[in-house]
Amino acid sequence: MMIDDETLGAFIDGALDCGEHERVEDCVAREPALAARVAALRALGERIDADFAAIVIRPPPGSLAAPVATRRSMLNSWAPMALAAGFAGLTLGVFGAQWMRDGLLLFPADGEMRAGGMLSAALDGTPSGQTSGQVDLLYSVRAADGSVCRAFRVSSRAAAQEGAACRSGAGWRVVVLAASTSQGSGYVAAGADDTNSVEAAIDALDAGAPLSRIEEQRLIDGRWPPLVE
Amino acid sequence: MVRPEEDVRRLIVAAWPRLFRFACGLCGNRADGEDLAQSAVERALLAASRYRTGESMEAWLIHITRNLWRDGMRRRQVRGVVVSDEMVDVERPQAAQAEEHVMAMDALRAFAYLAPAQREVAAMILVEGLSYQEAASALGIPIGTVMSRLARARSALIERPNGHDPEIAPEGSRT
Repeated sequence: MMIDDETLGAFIDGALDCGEHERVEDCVAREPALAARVAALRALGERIDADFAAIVIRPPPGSLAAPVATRRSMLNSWAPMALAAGFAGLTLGVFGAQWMRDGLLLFPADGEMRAGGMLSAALDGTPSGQTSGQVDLLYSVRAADGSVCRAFRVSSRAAAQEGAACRSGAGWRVVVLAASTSQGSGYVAAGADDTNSVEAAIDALDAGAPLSRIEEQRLIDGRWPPLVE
Repeated sequence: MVRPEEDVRRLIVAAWPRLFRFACGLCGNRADGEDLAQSAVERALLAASRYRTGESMEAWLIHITRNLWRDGMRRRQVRGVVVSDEMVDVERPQAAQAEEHVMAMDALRAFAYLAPAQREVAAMILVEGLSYQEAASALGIPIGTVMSRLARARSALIERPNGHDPEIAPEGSRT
C-alpha cells in the first residue's frame, strides 16, 4: 500500500489518531520501502535536533537586564542554568552582553558558560601575575576532582569582573563571574552574600594551595593536559 | 511588588534559548538568527503591556519573530537568505566558528534553501516542537496545509542534507 509523506510524517510526529496510527504502523512493518522512508524521516529529525542543539546561544540583549532593584529576581530566572553548571555565582545582563561583544564568553545551549576567544587565549598561555589584553591572571589551583582552575580579573569598558575558570575538554568552563570586589558597583552577583564569591567558588572546588610558577608553566607548555590517574 | 513587565522579562529570558534556535531556523544561519531574535525581544519588551498573563509566552514570541522575519523579507524582496562561509560572523572567536561549522552548519544551511512557507513550518514544528495545531493557529492556515508544507520541507531536507543543490541557489548568492 502506498502511504504518502504527509501521513508518514504525522505518524512519526505522533499526530495520527489511534486507528490510523496502528494502520500505518502495520503497513510500515510489512513494507520495507515504507520502513526505509520512516527511518529516513526519523534520522532527519535527529539530525535537526542535534544540529540546532549545537548552535551556540548567546545571552539575550542587554535590554532584558533588569534595573538594580530587581536584579536579584532576574538572576533567579537563570538559577536552573547556574545550578546545572554548578556555578557558585553568576552575573549576566550588562556585563554579560558587554563580554559577548568583546569575545570573552560563549554561552552554549546546555547552560554552561565557556571562555571565549580572548579570555580563553589568556587562560591558555598567560602565567599568573601577568596580563594578557584585558585579562589579569591571578593564580591557578588544582581542584579536588583533578581539574585545573584559574582565577582571573577582566577590566572591560563597563567595569572590572573577577572570575574563575576550570579546564574542561579543549576549553575553559567559567565557574564563577562576579563584580570585582575591589570596585564599587551597582550590580550584585548571584553569590552577593559571600564577601568574595570568587574565593568562595575556589573554596567550593576543594582546591589546595595555588600552583607554583614551575608547575603552572609546565601545564601551559603542555597545553593543559588532563591529569593522568 | 513585581511589576507586570518584570514577569514578561523573566518569561522572555526563560524562552530565549528556544527563541534563538527558532530564529536561526527561520534565517537559515546563526548570525541573522541572532539579530532576528534580538529584534523580536526588543519588540516584545515594547509591547509587554499587551502580553496577557496566562498566554503562552512562547507562542507570543514566535508570532512576533515570524512577523518580523516576514516583514524583513518583504522589505528586502528576497526569497531566501545568503548562506556562505563568508557570512559567518567574522567577529566571533575562531574556536566558536570552527565549532559551529562542524556541528551546526549542515541543518541550518539546509533550512536556508527551503521556500519561506516551508521553512517557517519546519522551524515551528521540527525546531521549536510545536504541534500541527499550534503551527496552524500561529500561521492562520488550515492544518492540512501545515502537513503538506511540512512534508515538502522534510522531503527537501532529506534530498539536500547539506543544503547543496546545484539546481537551486539561494537568492543573493548570485554574483
